[in-house]
Amino acid sequence: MSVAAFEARKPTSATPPAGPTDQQVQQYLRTGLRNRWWPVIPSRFVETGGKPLGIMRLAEPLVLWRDSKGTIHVQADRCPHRAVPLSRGINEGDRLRCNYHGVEVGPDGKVLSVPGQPGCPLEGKKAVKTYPSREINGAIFVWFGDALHEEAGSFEPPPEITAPDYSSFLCYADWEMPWRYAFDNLMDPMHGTFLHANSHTMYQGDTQAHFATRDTEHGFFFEKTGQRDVNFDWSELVDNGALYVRLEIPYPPSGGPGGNFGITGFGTPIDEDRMCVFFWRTRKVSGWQRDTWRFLYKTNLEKRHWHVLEQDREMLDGLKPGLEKFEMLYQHDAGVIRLRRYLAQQARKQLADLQAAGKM
Amino acid sequence: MPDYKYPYLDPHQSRTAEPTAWQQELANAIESVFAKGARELDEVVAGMNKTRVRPLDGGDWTEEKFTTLMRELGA
Ligand code: FES
Ligand SMILES: [Fe+2]
Repeated sequence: MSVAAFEARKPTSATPPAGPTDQQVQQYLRTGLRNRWWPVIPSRFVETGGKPLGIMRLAEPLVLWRDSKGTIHVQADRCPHRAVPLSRGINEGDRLRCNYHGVEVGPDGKVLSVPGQPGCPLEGKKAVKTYPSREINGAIFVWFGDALHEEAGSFEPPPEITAPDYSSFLCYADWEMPWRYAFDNLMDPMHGTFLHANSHTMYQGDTQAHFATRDTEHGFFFEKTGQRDVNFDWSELVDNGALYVRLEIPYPPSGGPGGNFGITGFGTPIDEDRMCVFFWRTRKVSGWQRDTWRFLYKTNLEKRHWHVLEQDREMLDGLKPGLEKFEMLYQHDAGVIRLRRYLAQQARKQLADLQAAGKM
Repeated sequence: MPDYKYPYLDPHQSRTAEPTAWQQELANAIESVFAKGARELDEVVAGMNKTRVRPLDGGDWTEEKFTTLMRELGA
């Protein structure tokens, strides 16, 4: 058969490109979904004019520093000269100076000075990646865009952590586990009845339950049917510029008036094996009820909440990615399954777009 | 300014100082009053007056004393 004849026999409609494999999707997800805002560290760790802070998030080394006006800057933690960490350098108030050979970098990533060789072509060059960042209720959020989304997308923070009719406290912790296990855990309300059975808040509720999922505009609810406000009865995954989970747990009578206590939880990957959690503990309270809750929280409740969180951490501590292949899930895990499918879809789309644009 | 050191696992992040012995007793008393069912401010104040915890300047708890103190301690 001639080449021409062979060509003619090929189907006329163009076959779509193969697209990312499941393996590529899972690998990509290990360090987090891109094109989202992620909280990276509590604001209080970065001082105005103080030492730059070097941290790893989404497997990217970051340097955080506050200029003399208090504005936060987040940049790649690599000196443009020899790539040593800029976080080992000095905050000069309006720029970072690398401690190795004194190269100076401005808040926009431009090299301002190469003292060892004035006039060097590196001067004036935008050589350090600068991440869009903002501060929300005590935490620094950073935009992690892929090659097609370097400009930050919008993010309307959840009202529970910004609206004046709520009061909240941020709890931050580093956990040694893949970030997705913390999200799985949050979308698995049933563990509350067992793991947290003798905690101050989750001592009630049936140990057997039926769950249902319900779509929302930016995510979904996973909730016990016929049981509300008894235990940890529902979780809501929200993906709206940032990924987070919302849930509520009733207080015992000793928690006072003001209704349920809420958690607005974010979990940010450090690398494939480690993550950090941002749990805002929230309550819709005002006046003396707000003040009293805050006093009780600082004095008595915070350590009890911490103890519950430690139960979660200890259950998952040190686990490595890839547990999925040993699992046998049942009906209670529908929220987890739904979450994983959702994240895989999002990752697949990002990878496919990058592939189509020739960016990977 | 606290330093950040990985792994950060600090059970107390909402307060800058340990509560005093009196503040600790106060918190426990408030919890016990809530646990007995007090919900409204007057019930809480009445309940507090049945505990052994007195305002720092002595005397009885009043709504004014209680809310002023909570505003300060809950800031
Ligand atoms: S490595 Fe930073 S100045 Fe040389
Ligand atoms: Fe838990």
